[in-house]
Amino acid sequence: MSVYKKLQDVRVELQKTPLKKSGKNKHIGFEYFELGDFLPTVQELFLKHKLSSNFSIVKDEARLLVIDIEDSSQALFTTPTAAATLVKATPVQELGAMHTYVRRYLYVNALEIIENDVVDPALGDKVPDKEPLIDGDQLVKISTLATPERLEKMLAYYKVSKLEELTLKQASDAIKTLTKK
Amino acid sequence: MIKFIEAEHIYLVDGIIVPSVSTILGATIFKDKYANVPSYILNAKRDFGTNVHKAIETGISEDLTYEELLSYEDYQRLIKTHNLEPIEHEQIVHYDLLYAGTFDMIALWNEAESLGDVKTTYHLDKEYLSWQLSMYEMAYCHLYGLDRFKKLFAIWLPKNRSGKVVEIERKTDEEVMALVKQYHEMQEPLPDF
Repeated sequence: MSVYKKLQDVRVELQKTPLKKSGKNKHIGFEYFELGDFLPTVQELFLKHKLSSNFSIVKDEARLLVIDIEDSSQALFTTPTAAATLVKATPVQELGAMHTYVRRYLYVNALEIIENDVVDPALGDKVPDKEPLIDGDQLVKISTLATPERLEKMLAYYKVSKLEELTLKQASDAIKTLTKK
Repeated sequence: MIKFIEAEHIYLVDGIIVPSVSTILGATIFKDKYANVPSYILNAKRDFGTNVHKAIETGISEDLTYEELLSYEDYQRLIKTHNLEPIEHEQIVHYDLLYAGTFDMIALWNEAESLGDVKTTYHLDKEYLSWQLSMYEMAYCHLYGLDRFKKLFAIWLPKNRSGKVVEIERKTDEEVMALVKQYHEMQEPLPDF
Protein backbone atom coordinates (compact mmCIF):
# COMPACT_ATOMS: atom_id res chain seq x y z
CA MET A 1 0.00 0.00 0.00
CA SER A 2 1.45 3.40 -0.94
CA VAL A 3 2.03 6.23 1.48
CA TYR A 4 -0.70 8.22 -0.27
CA LYS A 5 -3.35 5.56 0.32
CA LYS A 6 -2.41 5.39 3.99
CA LEU A 7 -2.36 9.15 4.27
CA GLN A 8 -5.84 9.29 2.82
CA ASP A 9 -7.03 6.70 5.37
CA VAL A 10 -5.56 8.81 8.15
CA ARG A 11 -7.26 11.95 6.79
CA VAL A 12 -10.65 10.25 6.74
CA GLU A 13 -10.23 8.78 10.21
CA LEU A 14 -9.04 12.12 11.52
CA GLN A 15 -12.05 13.98 10.18
CA LYS A 16 -14.30 11.56 12.06
CA THR A 17 -12.48 12.34 15.31
CA PRO A 18 -13.85 15.28 17.28
CA LEU A 19 -11.05 17.79 17.75
CA LYS A 20 -11.22 20.89 19.89
CA LYS A 21 -9.75 24.17 18.70
CA SER A 22 -7.85 25.67 21.61
CA GLY A 23 -6.14 28.55 19.78
CA LYS A 24 -7.89 31.87 19.63
CA ASN A 25 -7.11 34.94 17.53
CA LYS A 26 -7.98 37.85 19.79
CA HIS A 27 -7.83 40.41 16.98
CA ILE A 28 -10.29 38.72 14.71
CA GLY A 29 -12.11 36.48 17.16
CA PHE A 30 -11.86 33.11 15.49
CA GLU A 31 -10.61 29.82 16.86
CA TYR A 32 -8.01 27.60 15.27
CA PHE A 33 -6.24 24.31 15.82
CA GLU A 34 -3.01 24.40 17.72
CA LEU A 35 -0.47 21.63 17.12
CA GLY A 36 -1.40 20.01 20.45
CA ASP A 37 -5.05 19.79 19.40
CA PHE A 38 -4.44 17.32 16.63
CA LEU A 39 -0.88 16.02 16.80
CA PRO A 40 -1.44 13.33 19.50
CA THR A 41 -4.38 11.91 17.48
CA VAL A 42 -2.34 12.10 14.28
CA GLN A 43 0.54 10.23 15.93
CA GLU A 44 -1.86 7.48 17.07
CA LEU A 45 -3.26 7.18 13.55
CA PHE A 46 0.22 7.20 12.00
CA LEU A 47 1.23 4.40 14.34
CA LYS A 48 -1.88 2.42 13.48
CA HIS A 49 -1.26 2.79 9.73
CA LYS A 50 2.50 2.37 10.08
CA LEU A 51 3.40 5.85 8.96
CA SER A 52 6.05 8.15 10.33
CA SER A 53 6.67 11.86 9.85
CA ASN A 54 9.71 14.07 9.90
CA PHE A 55 9.71 17.86 10.07
CA SER A 56 12.79 19.81 8.97
CA ILE A 57 13.88 23.20 7.69
CA VAL A 58 16.42 23.39 4.89
CA LYS A 59 17.53 26.91 3.98
CA ASP A 60 14.29 28.86 3.48
CA GLU A 61 12.04 25.87 3.05
CA ALA A 62 10.15 23.92 5.71
CA ARG A 63 9.48 20.27 4.92
CA LEU A 64 7.19 17.62 6.29
CA LEU A 65 8.10 14.17 5.08
CA VAL A 66 5.55 11.41 5.62
CA ILE A 67 7.08 7.94 5.31
CA ASP A 68 5.44 4.57 4.95
CA ILE A 69 7.41 2.41 7.38
CA GLU A 70 6.44 -0.74 5.53
CA ASP A 71 7.57 0.05 1.99
CA SER A 72 9.58 3.28 2.53
CA SER A 73 7.44 5.27 0.09
CA GLN A 74 7.34 8.96 0.94
CA ALA A 75 5.16 12.05 0.55
CA LEU A 76 6.83 15.43 0.89
CA PHE A 77 5.01 18.64 1.83
CA THR A 78 6.89 21.93 1.67
CA THR A 79 6.37 25.60 2.32
CA PRO A 80 8.65 28.64 2.18
CA THR A 81 9.54 30.07 5.58
CA ALA A 82 9.69 33.61 6.84
CA ALA A 83 10.81 35.32 10.00
CA ALA A 84 8.05 35.68 12.58
CA THR A 85 8.51 39.23 13.79
CA LEU A 86 7.18 39.34 17.34
CA VAL A 87 7.13 42.34 19.62
CA LYS A 88 9.78 42.20 22.35
CA ALA A 89 10.94 38.72 21.42
CA THR A 90 14.52 37.51 21.22
CA PRO A 91 15.78 36.10 17.91
CA VAL A 92 15.61 32.59 19.42
CA GLN A 93 11.96 33.10 20.44
CA GLU A 94 11.15 34.37 16.95
CA LEU A 95 12.85 31.31 15.46
CA GLY A 96 10.82 29.03 17.74
CA ALA A 97 7.60 30.82 16.77
CA MET A 98 8.37 30.39 13.09
CA HIS A 99 9.14 26.65 13.57
CA THR A 100 5.88 26.03 15.43
CA TYR A 101 3.92 27.99 12.86
CA VAL A 102 5.22 26.30 9.75
CA ARG A 103 5.04 22.89 11.42
CA ARG A 104 1.36 23.42 12.20
CA TYR A 105 0.80 24.77 8.70
CA LEU A 106 2.40 21.71 7.09
CA TYR A 107 0.39 19.21 9.18
CA VAL A 108 -2.84 21.08 8.43
CA ASN A 109 -1.88 20.93 4.78
CA ALA A 110 -0.76 17.30 4.71
CA LEU A 111 -3.80 16.05 6.61
CA GLU A 112 -6.22 18.45 4.93
CA ILE A 113 -7.57 19.62 8.25
CA ILE A 114 -10.32 22.14 7.67
CA GLU A 115 -9.46 25.50 9.16
CA ASN A 116 -10.71 29.04 8.77
CA ASP A 117 -9.57 30.50 5.45
CA VAL A 118 -7.53 33.04 7.31
CA VAL A 119 -5.20 31.39 9.81
CA ASP A 120 -2.78 33.65 11.47
CA PRO A 121 -3.08 33.93 15.22
CA ALA A 122 0.46 35.00 15.99
CA LEU A 123 0.88 37.61 13.30
CA GLY A 124 -2.67 38.96 13.23
CA ASP A 125 -3.42 38.16 9.61
CA LYS A 126 -5.82 40.57 7.93
CA VAL A 127 -9.36 39.46 7.16
CA PRO A 128 -11.06 41.09 4.24
CA ASP A 129 -12.63 44.27 5.54
CA LYS A 130 -15.89 45.75 4.40
CA GLU A 131 -15.67 47.68 1.15
CA PRO A 132 -14.44 51.18 1.98
CA LEU A 133 -17.10 53.85 1.62
CA ILE A 134 -17.11 56.99 -0.48
CA ASP A 135 -14.40 59.53 0.32
CA GLY A 136 -15.20 63.15 1.23
CA ASP A 137 -13.58 64.50 -1.95
CA GLN A 138 -15.60 62.08 -4.05
CA LEU A 139 -18.79 63.19 -2.37
CA VAL A 140 -18.10 66.83 -3.25
CA LYS A 141 -17.05 65.92 -6.78
CA ILE A 142 -20.19 63.88 -7.55
CA SER A 143 -22.45 66.50 -6.02
CA THR A 144 -20.84 69.12 -8.26
CA LEU A 145 -20.84 67.04 -11.44
CA ALA A 146 -24.25 65.37 -11.37
CA THR A 147 -27.54 67.04 -12.20
CA PRO A 148 -30.42 66.06 -9.85
CA GLU A 149 -31.80 63.81 -12.60
CA ARG A 150 -28.53 62.03 -13.17
CA LEU A 151 -27.96 61.73 -9.43
CA GLU A 152 -31.28 59.97 -9.09
CA LYS A 153 -30.44 57.58 -11.91
CA MET A 154 -27.07 56.87 -10.38
CA LEU A 155 -28.50 56.07 -6.93
CA ALA A 156 -31.03 53.75 -8.59
CA TYR A 157 -28.26 52.08 -10.58
CA TYR A 158 -26.29 51.32 -7.42
CA LYS A 159 -29.43 50.52 -5.43
CA VAL A 160 -28.65 53.00 -2.65
CA SER A 161 -30.78 55.79 -1.21
CA LYS A 162 -28.07 58.40 -0.72
CA LEU A 163 -24.57 59.21 -1.91
CA GLU A 164 -22.99 58.35 1.46
CA GLU A 165 -23.90 54.70 0.92
CA LEU A 166 -21.75 54.34 -2.18
CA THR A 167 -18.48 52.48 -1.89
CA LEU A 168 -15.19 54.10 -2.81
CA LYS A 169 -15.05 52.00 -5.98
CA GLN A 170 -18.62 52.85 -6.99
CA ALA A 171 -17.96 56.54 -6.38
CA SER A 172 -14.79 56.30 -8.46
CA ASP A 173 -16.67 54.66 -11.34
CA ALA A 174 -19.44 57.23 -11.01
CA ILE A 175 -16.97 60.11 -11.31
CA LYS A 176 -15.42 58.45 -14.35
CA THR A 177 -18.84 58.10 -15.95
CA LEU A 178 -19.83 61.65 -15.10
CA THR A 179 -16.61 63.09 -16.56
CA LYS A 180 -16.60 60.84 -19.62
CA LYS A 181 -16.54 62.88 -22.79
CA MET B 1 -4.59 66.07 -6.79
CA ILE B 2 -3.48 62.65 -5.57
CA LYS B 3 -4.54 61.17 -2.27
CA PHE B 4 -3.29 57.91 -0.75
CA ILE B 5 -5.66 56.00 1.49
CA GLU B 6 -3.21 53.97 3.52
CA ALA B 7 -5.60 51.52 5.19
CA GLU B 8 -6.81 50.23 1.83
CA HIS B 9 -3.63 51.04 -0.07
CA ILE B 10 -5.66 52.97 -2.64
CA TYR B 11 -4.57 55.94 -4.72
CA LEU B 12 -7.26 58.49 -5.64
CA VAL B 13 -6.64 61.11 -8.30
CA ASP B 14 -9.44 63.67 -8.37
CA GLY B 15 -11.73 61.13 -6.73
CA ILE B 16 -10.91 58.34 -9.19
CA ILE B 17 -9.19 55.14 -8.07
CA VAL B 18 -5.93 54.80 -9.96
CA PRO B 19 -4.28 51.36 -10.00
CA SER B 20 -0.93 51.07 -8.29
CA VAL B 21 2.19 49.90 -10.08
CA SER B 22 2.14 46.66 -8.08
CA THR B 23 -1.55 46.11 -8.93
CA ILE B 24 -0.80 46.43 -12.64
CA LEU B 25 2.25 44.19 -12.49
CA GLY B 26 0.44 41.64 -10.31
CA ALA B 27 -2.50 41.48 -12.72
CA THR B 28 -0.43 41.16 -15.88
CA ILE B 29 3.11 39.83 -16.30
CA PHE B 30 3.71 38.88 -12.66
CA LYS B 31 0.38 37.18 -12.07
CA ASP B 32 1.84 34.14 -10.34
CA LYS B 33 4.66 35.85 -8.52
CA TYR B 34 3.31 35.10 -5.03
CA ALA B 35 0.68 32.51 -5.98
CA ASN B 36 2.27 29.69 -3.99
CA VAL B 37 3.32 31.67 -0.96
CA PRO B 38 1.01 31.35 2.06
CA SER B 39 -0.56 34.60 3.23
CA TYR B 40 1.08 34.48 6.66
CA ILE B 41 4.51 34.46 5.01
CA LEU B 42 3.62 37.34 2.73
CA ASN B 43 2.39 39.29 5.74
CA ALA B 44 5.51 38.59 7.76
CA LYS B 45 7.74 39.54 4.84
CA ARG B 46 5.72 42.67 4.19
CA ASP B 47 6.00 43.74 7.84
CA PHE B 48 9.74 43.13 7.81
CA GLY B 49 10.14 45.18 4.63
CA THR B 50 7.88 47.97 5.90
CA ASN B 51 9.83 48.32 9.13
CA VAL B 52 13.21 48.43 7.38
CA HIS B 53 11.88 50.93 4.82
CA LYS B 54 10.51 53.12 7.60
CA ALA B 55 13.86 53.15 9.39
CA ILE B 56 15.64 54.04 6.14
CA GLU B 57 13.23 56.90 5.55
CA THR B 58 13.30 58.32 9.07
CA GLY B 59 16.73 57.25 10.29
CA ILE B 60 15.08 55.92 13.46
CA SER B 61 16.03 52.34 14.19
CA GLU B 62 15.10 51.95 17.87
CA ASP B 63 11.94 49.93 17.26
CA LEU B 64 13.47 47.44 14.86
CA THR B 65 13.79 43.77 15.69
CA TYR B 66 17.27 42.25 15.71
CA GLU B 67 16.94 40.93 12.14
CA GLU B 68 15.53 44.22 10.88
CA LEU B 69 18.35 46.12 12.52
CA LEU B 70 20.92 43.94 10.73
CA SER B 71 19.30 44.83 7.39
CA TYR B 72 19.24 48.51 8.29
CA GLU B 73 22.94 48.41 9.21
CA ASP B 74 23.64 46.62 5.94
CA TYR B 75 21.86 49.46 4.13
CA GLN B 76 24.04 52.05 5.85
CA ARG B 77 27.15 50.14 4.91
CA LEU B 78 26.04 49.94 1.28
CA ILE B 79 25.25 53.62 0.80
CA LYS B 80 28.68 54.50 2.19
CA THR B 81 30.65 52.04 0.12
CA HIS B 82 28.74 52.83 -3.11
CA ASN B 83 28.81 56.59 -2.75
CA LEU B 84 25.03 56.88 -2.59
CA GLU B 85 23.45 59.97 -1.10
CA PRO B 86 19.65 59.78 -0.72
CA ILE B 87 18.01 63.14 -1.38
CA GLU B 88 14.34 62.15 -1.47
CA HIS B 89 12.41 59.31 0.21
CA GLU B 90 9.00 57.70 -0.30
CA GLN B 91 7.36 59.99 -2.83
CA ILE B 92 3.94 59.37 -4.33
CA VAL B 93 3.73 59.79 -8.08
CA HIS B 94 1.07 59.20 -10.71
CA TYR B 95 0.78 59.20 -14.46
CA ASP B 96 -2.52 60.97 -15.07
CA LEU B 97 -5.30 58.47 -14.33
CA LEU B 98 -3.31 55.54 -15.66
CA TYR B 99 -1.29 54.42 -12.64
CA ALA B 100 0.21 55.57 -9.35
CA GLY B 101 2.79 54.42 -6.86
CA THR B 102 5.29 55.38 -4.19
CA PHE B 103 8.96 55.11 -4.98
CA ASP B 104 11.57 54.49 -2.31
CA MET B 105 14.24 57.05 -3.09
CA ILE B 106 16.02 59.45 -5.34
CA ALA B 107 19.73 59.41 -4.59
CA LEU B 108 22.92 60.86 -5.93
CA TRP B 109 24.88 57.83 -7.08
CA ASN B 110 28.41 59.00 -7.75
CA GLU B 111 26.85 62.46 -7.92
CA ALA B 112 24.31 61.57 -10.65
CA GLU B 113 20.60 61.67 -9.81
CA SER B 114 19.26 58.12 -9.81
CA LEU B 115 16.01 56.44 -8.84
CA GLY B 116 16.14 53.50 -6.48
CA ASP B 117 14.17 50.87 -4.69
CA VAL B 118 15.03 48.93 -1.54
CA LYS B 119 14.29 45.21 -1.50
CA THR B 120 14.53 42.93 1.52
CA THR B 121 13.53 39.78 -0.35
CA TYR B 122 15.46 36.52 -0.45
CA HIS B 123 15.71 36.66 -4.25
CA LEU B 124 16.21 39.85 -6.25
CA ASP B 125 13.75 39.92 -9.11
CA LYS B 126 15.48 42.25 -11.56
CA GLU B 127 12.75 41.96 -14.18
CA TYR B 128 10.08 43.03 -11.70
CA LEU B 129 12.30 45.90 -10.56
CA SER B 130 12.90 46.95 -14.14
CA TRP B 131 9.16 47.39 -14.71
CA GLN B 132 8.55 48.93 -11.31
CA LEU B 133 11.31 51.53 -11.49
CA SER B 134 10.64 52.36 -15.14
CA MET B 135 7.00 53.05 -14.28
CA TYR B 136 7.91 55.25 -11.31
CA GLU B 137 10.47 57.10 -13.39
CA MET B 138 8.04 57.71 -16.22
CA ALA B 139 5.37 59.00 -13.85
CA TYR B 140 7.79 61.25 -11.96
CA CYS B 141 9.28 62.78 -15.10
CA HIS B 142 5.83 63.24 -16.65
CA LEU B 143 4.50 64.86 -13.49
CA TYR B 144 7.34 67.37 -13.17
CA GLY B 145 8.35 67.70 -16.83
CA LEU B 146 11.85 66.39 -16.13
CA ASP B 147 14.38 64.33 -18.06
CA ARG B 148 15.06 60.71 -17.17
CA PHE B 149 17.32 59.82 -14.26
CA LYS B 150 20.91 58.84 -14.87
CA LYS B 151 20.40 55.33 -13.52
CA LEU B 152 17.86 53.04 -11.93
CA PHE B 153 19.10 50.92 -9.06
CA ALA B 154 18.11 48.52 -6.31
CA ILE B 155 19.54 48.31 -2.84
CA TRP B 156 19.15 44.64 -2.06
CA LEU B 157 19.15 43.65 1.60
CA PRO B 158 18.77 39.88 1.97
CA LYS B 159 18.88 38.64 5.55
CA ASN B 160 22.38 37.20 5.42
CA ARG B 161 23.94 40.69 5.39
CA SER B 162 25.41 40.25 1.94
CA GLY B 163 23.51 43.24 0.54
CA LYS B 164 24.29 44.69 -2.85
CA VAL B 165 23.62 47.75 -4.95
CA VAL B 166 22.48 46.62 -8.37
CA GLU B 167 21.91 48.70 -11.46
CA ILE B 168 18.53 47.98 -13.06
CA GLU B 169 17.78 48.06 -16.76
CA ARG B 170 15.13 50.46 -17.96
CA LYS B 171 12.00 49.55 -19.96
CA THR B 172 11.10 51.83 -22.82
CA ASP B 173 8.15 54.22 -22.54
CA GLU B 174 6.42 52.22 -25.27
CA GLU B 175 6.78 48.98 -23.32
CA VAL B 176 5.42 50.60 -20.15
CA MET B 177 2.48 52.17 -21.96
CA ALA B 178 1.61 48.90 -23.71
CA LEU B 179 1.48 47.13 -20.33
CA VAL B 180 -0.63 49.86 -18.75
CA LYS B 181 -3.00 49.73 -21.71
CA GLN B 182 -3.24 45.95 -21.39
CA TYR B 183 -4.24 46.32 -17.73
CA HIS B 184 -6.88 48.97 -18.40
CA GLU B 185 -8.40 46.92 -21.20
CA MET B 186 -8.93 44.10 -18.70
CA GLN B 187 -11.15 46.28 -16.50
CA GLU B 188 -14.94 46.18 -16.44
CA PRO B 189 -16.75 48.75 -18.57
CA LEU B 190 -18.06 51.85 -16.83
CA PRO B 191 -21.62 51.96 -15.53
CA ASP B 192 -24.17 53.65 -17.69
CA PHE B 193 -26.59 56.03 -16.00
